[in-house]
Amino acid sequence: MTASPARALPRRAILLVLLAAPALFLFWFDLTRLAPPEAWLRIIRAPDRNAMAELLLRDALLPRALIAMLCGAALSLAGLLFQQILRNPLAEPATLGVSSGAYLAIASATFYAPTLLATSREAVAFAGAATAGTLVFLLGWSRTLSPVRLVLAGLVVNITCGAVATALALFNDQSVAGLYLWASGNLSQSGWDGTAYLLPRFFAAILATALLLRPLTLLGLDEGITAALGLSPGLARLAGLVVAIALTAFVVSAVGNIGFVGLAAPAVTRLAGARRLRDQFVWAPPVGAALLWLADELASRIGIGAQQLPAGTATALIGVPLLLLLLPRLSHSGELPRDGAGRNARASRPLVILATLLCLCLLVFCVAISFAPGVRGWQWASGAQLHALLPWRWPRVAGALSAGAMLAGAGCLIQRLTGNPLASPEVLGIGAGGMLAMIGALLLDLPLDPLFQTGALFAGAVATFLLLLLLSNRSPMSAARMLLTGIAINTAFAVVVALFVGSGDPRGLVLLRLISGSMSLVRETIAAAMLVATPVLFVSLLALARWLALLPLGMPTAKAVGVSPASRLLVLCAAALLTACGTLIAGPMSFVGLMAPHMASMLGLTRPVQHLAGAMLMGAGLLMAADWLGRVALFPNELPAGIVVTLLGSPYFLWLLRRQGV
Amino acid sequence: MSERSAPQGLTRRDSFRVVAAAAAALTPPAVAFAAETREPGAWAAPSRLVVLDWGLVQTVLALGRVPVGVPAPGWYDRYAVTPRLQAGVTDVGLLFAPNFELIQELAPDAILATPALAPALPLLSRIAPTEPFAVFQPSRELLARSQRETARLADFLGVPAAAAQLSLAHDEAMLRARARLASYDGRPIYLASPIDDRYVTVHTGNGLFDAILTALGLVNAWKTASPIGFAPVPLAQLTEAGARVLLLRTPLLADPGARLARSVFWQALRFVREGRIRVVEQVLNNGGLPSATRFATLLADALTAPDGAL
Repeated sequence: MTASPARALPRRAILLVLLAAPALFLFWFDLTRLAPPEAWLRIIRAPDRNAMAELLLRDALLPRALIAMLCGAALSLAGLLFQQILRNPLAEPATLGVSSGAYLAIASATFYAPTLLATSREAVAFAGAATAGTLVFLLGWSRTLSPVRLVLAGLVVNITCGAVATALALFNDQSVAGLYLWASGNLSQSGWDGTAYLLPRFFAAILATALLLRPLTLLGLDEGITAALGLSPGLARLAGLVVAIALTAFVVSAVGNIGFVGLAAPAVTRLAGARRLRDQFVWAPPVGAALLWLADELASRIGIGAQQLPAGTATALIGVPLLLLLLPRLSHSGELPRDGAGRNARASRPLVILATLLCLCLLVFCVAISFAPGVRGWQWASGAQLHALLPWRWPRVAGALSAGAMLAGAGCLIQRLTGNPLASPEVLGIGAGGMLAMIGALLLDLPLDPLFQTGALFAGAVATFLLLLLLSNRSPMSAARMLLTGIAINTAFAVVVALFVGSGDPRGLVLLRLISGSMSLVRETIAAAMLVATPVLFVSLLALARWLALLPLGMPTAKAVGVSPASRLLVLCAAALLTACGTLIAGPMSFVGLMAPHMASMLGLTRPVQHLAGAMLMGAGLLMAADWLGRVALFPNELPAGIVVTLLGSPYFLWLLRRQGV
Repeated sequence: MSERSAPQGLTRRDSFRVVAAAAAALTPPAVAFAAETREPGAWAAPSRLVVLDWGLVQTVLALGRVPVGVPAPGWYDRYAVTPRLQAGVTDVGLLFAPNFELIQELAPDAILATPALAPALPLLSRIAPTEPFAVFQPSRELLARSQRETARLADFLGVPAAAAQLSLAHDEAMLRARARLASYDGRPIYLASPIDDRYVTVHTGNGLFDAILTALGLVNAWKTASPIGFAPVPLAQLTEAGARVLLLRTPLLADPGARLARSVFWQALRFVREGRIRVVEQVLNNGGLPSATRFATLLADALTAPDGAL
């Protein structure tokens, strides 16, 4: 299974050279364009303060290359630590909500304390990052610092911060450009402040990691073995996580969001043969450094209008194909920790619970249809008034109902299929893929009527799904690879959105609203079609019930009792179809798809059919309630349901999580 | 209300104005117009207006009408500044996300929108006739188009004379600004809003500010026109040495120089070293003719004031 060090070493060295050599060449080319090599030392020591070329060389080009390498190495190290500690190859610096905490802090400061932001951006971002990190620790704290619980808490904080920041941008549309410029991970420098800030912190983190290496290596082993060796798993994990969170916070506060390096660099290093943690510790940071440096050198040559392509965008654009290319080799190393619905206690009277959920759904439906504020205050609409309001309300309520049910159904299938608590329709990247097609349509200035938008979304979703199938066709399908592909697509999507909105294009606002999952433009035809499709799909899913019971046990077990690999494919197809339909209405922020199935199983609905039905009822109720709250909470302003469902569901989810002691 | 049967010989518009003037004296305008339009056979110019874009709102106000509903009126006052919106106009939600139910409850007889609201237009037309106007549309003939669209809007509102008046006022403001700028030293001008210590948003060709600058015979120091009229630009690219920079104050950026002061590149720019920096007060950069007029005046104010280093 492991490559011998003698053979693996050149492979890693070649990888490093392949990344660093072109970066160095491009960097050299830029330097010589500004000044001849013999002048460089003089310029660095004593530049002519009035010569822009000399300042560019000394205070832009050099610190930029250095900070690219520093950030790449730091993110890679942070990613490595997260992956080792959480025992999840999908964990990356963003998983614990650290980046989005920093992002939220910057977003809030942009709108409510612009002066503070002008003078101390790093401090603002670091405060946000550290707060989010601490919050995750507090929420996810348990005796053993369970990896699953931490990742779930991190994910919830992550999504919540993202939702609030998007809401802020929607309410303050005039000044989003600067925010997104920062969010898209721009490495351009103005002097050495950033480097001076990051360098000592990075080396401190290296030192700390070196000290933690031995206990962390043992953490990769089984919990029982670690305990038998007399280690305190909680303490070692805590120390490692603090280092990783601090590293991420430093990078985000210095240069903004740079996704994917923390995921890609350790993964690539492992694929190049670094199996032991010590090897990964030695190789992953340089690989990350070279990766981000090359990405930035290439990106800064691509102009988008007057703007350069930001590095955060470029890392995704380089990283996605790289990861897809290397994915087939992951099949043996990518086993995921299992945390299925099976752990929750089974309810003694599931039908009573389901009936209660159905009643709650009906109640939410009635409130959503008839109770809302108007010009003359709150009112229960009835008779002629309801008749006048119904054309506005029924499509959005019906749309929310069916989209919620479908996304929850998709989440249920995906979580059962993979046994991974991180899995949700969004992780598959199908909603994001659809949205990418939508952005393409926006950029091409195609007509923007809702039916056309729907078509673009659906085409994109199907294309993404086909891509997923194609990639998984090349070797035996693995849940980990599937999720990694989905994360890659999502990362690409996020940076494209940041880039588009950051360019200042007025259409960026239209896009923001589509992403945030607003129900206000849902048309009758679509709502009616979805309303019919939801029960039809549910009934057809019942046919999959036997597989859904067996798949969470893992493929070998499932195979042993006669489940063919094709059945996984079929379940996956169904999940993708549900996701595409749900995203048409609710946008790609499918927090519903993540939460509803968890909630259903926490209520004790663990058998497949009960789980599916419970999740779909839960999803429908959640999204309807979210849409209603979004309409009434800040009346007359409408907060998109996608954002509300996040704010609404996350505290409940965390409370349940705590009570259950996952 | 005997005024409603207008004397023969007057045009319909004239009769409408008589009605409007008389009615305005008696009742709040919106109510009077609403009563008037419900009368069968009367002049049917829309009067209960919901206006879904701030550039349109300021144009409608400048044409002498007060909308009944506007998105985020509080923000309108901060961004558009003039003409001010009177209190009591209903908030109909966010820009790009109008609240349909509320608009329906306001019972408008026309909804004014922009082409950017295209996805919502079919839904809005169920409530009332909805007409898109592009009083702001980035292009090389931005001002001419804005004047054309303003005239079309005035026709739609039944007040064509007001459009002529607004155009005239704009032309006069331009003439005054031009006269005040006669002694300007002719240096090219950067119009910039700071983003952070590395980037500024530069207003380029195709934009409203550039249109005014050019129409006043001044030169924009940033030569590349962006299709949307502005672009984020690294400081080091502001290389026009003889230029002067105008920093734009915004509601969220009271001191536009603060973000730039600590940047080595900003300090190295020649116009900064030589102190050729001025500040211009907030103008809605995607506004209509009123914004154009306001910017012309503020530009002349800024360029006739003394330079100030930051």
